[in-house]
Amino acid sequence: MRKEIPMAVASICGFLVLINFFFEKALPFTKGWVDTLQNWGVVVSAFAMGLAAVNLVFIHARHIARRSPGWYNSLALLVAMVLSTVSGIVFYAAPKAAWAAGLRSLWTYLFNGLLKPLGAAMFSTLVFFIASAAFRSFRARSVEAAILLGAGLIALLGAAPIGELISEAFPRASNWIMDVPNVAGNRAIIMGAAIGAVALGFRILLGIDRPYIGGE
Amino acid sequence: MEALQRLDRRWLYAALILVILLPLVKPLGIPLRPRSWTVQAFEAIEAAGPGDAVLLSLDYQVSGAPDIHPQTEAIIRRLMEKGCRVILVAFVDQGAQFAIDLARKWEARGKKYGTDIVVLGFAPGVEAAISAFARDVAAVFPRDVRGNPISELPAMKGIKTARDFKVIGDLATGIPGPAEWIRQVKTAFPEVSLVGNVVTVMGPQTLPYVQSGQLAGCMIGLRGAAEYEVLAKQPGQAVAAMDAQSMGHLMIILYIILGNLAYLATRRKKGSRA
Repeated sequence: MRKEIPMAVASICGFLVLINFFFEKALPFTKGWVDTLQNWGVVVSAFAMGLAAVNLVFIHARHIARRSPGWYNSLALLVAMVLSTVSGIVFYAAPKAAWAAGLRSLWTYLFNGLLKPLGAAMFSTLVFFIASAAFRSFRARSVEAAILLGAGLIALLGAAPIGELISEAFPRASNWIMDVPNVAGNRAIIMGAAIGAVALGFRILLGIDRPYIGGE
Repeated sequence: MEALQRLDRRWLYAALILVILLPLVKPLGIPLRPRSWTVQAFEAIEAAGPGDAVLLSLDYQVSGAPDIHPQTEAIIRRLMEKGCRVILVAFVDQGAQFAIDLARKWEARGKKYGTDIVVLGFAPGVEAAISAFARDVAAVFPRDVRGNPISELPAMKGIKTARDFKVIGDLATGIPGPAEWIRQVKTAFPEVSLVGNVVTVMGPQTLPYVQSGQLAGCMIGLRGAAEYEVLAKQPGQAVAAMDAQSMGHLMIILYIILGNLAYLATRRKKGSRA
């Protein structure tokens, strides 16, 4: 029963959503049920985030207690987590309370003064990886690699305004690459993935695949 | 040429930094011509007139913000100028904070929170949450991020489902992105005008949806924001960054050419030895 009940619930919910999607006009009463199901989905997702946070605390508290290698990283994570959780809750729950002014500024500082610049810095370091890869790895070792290289160069020149300044042909060629071969290739991937998703969906709905109970 | 193969990569980095910094200090003013998908996105957003409600879903993280946030800034500036109602929502946790900061910024510029701009907040659940939101906005967000019942906010007047927004823009750095919005919103409400706003790396995978008509248009990365600013005749931070991006692209191309010349020289030498 530990397997059968979750399987039955998953199948009923899944088929209900499918039936409502395709036959809403013929079966209008299913709309209310599906709306409720989807709202439950949002609530369950919120609980899942909480559960993940609790799990994270347990794992890292164990690392600290056992003084595992790199335990101080776990400590930093827990301190950051507590600070951002407490100040974030105050930021949203007591937006105007005078007593919470310090915590609100802490939250603003953590997000705008720490997280945003760190995120931007991480993103910016990509340019160095690209520069290094461009110099050392992006080589015309074969005909296929040479074609890829040529297309990449045209796309690069076409994507930046300077390409147009050099020659009108660059943006035209770049747009053609994006509009024709790129779209054709991506469309094939999207449609292939969609057909795979339909097959996977049916396997889950019929209980053949059961990832929600441990993938047995 | 062989010496190039052994070149310390830090020289490459230093040259790149220099070349990117120079146009930021002294702009070159390279002209920018908007691409067709940005023009389509601009026209779709321009369809919203004074008083129309426009939904922007800020589904991005701080890591991708330098590439996508200028798009949000440019679109909101234009919508505010036109007197549209701007409703901000997020299905990625960090997006909500960007929305809150933007609302504050526009309040400081004289716009009224609740009338001109509203932040609904963040809802977890990715596609399930997007679908639930599209079918019944108030069921997912009975209150805005400041605790006001959305039924009492003038900006939310007449908004019950996704159908009631004149335009929806999804600004994304990953999942959820335009593909998820198409699946859950455009398919259920075909009349909705949906614009895809994505980081540069997501551009190629988003363009098929523009050709198929599922997206009314697409803005790709920082250049998308710059093109939008040009179309709206409001040049801002994105246009200013374009010269630096151009020079960065040129340097990368130079590195590819130099790297290949060095590789060919080494291969030829090895071939002659054999």
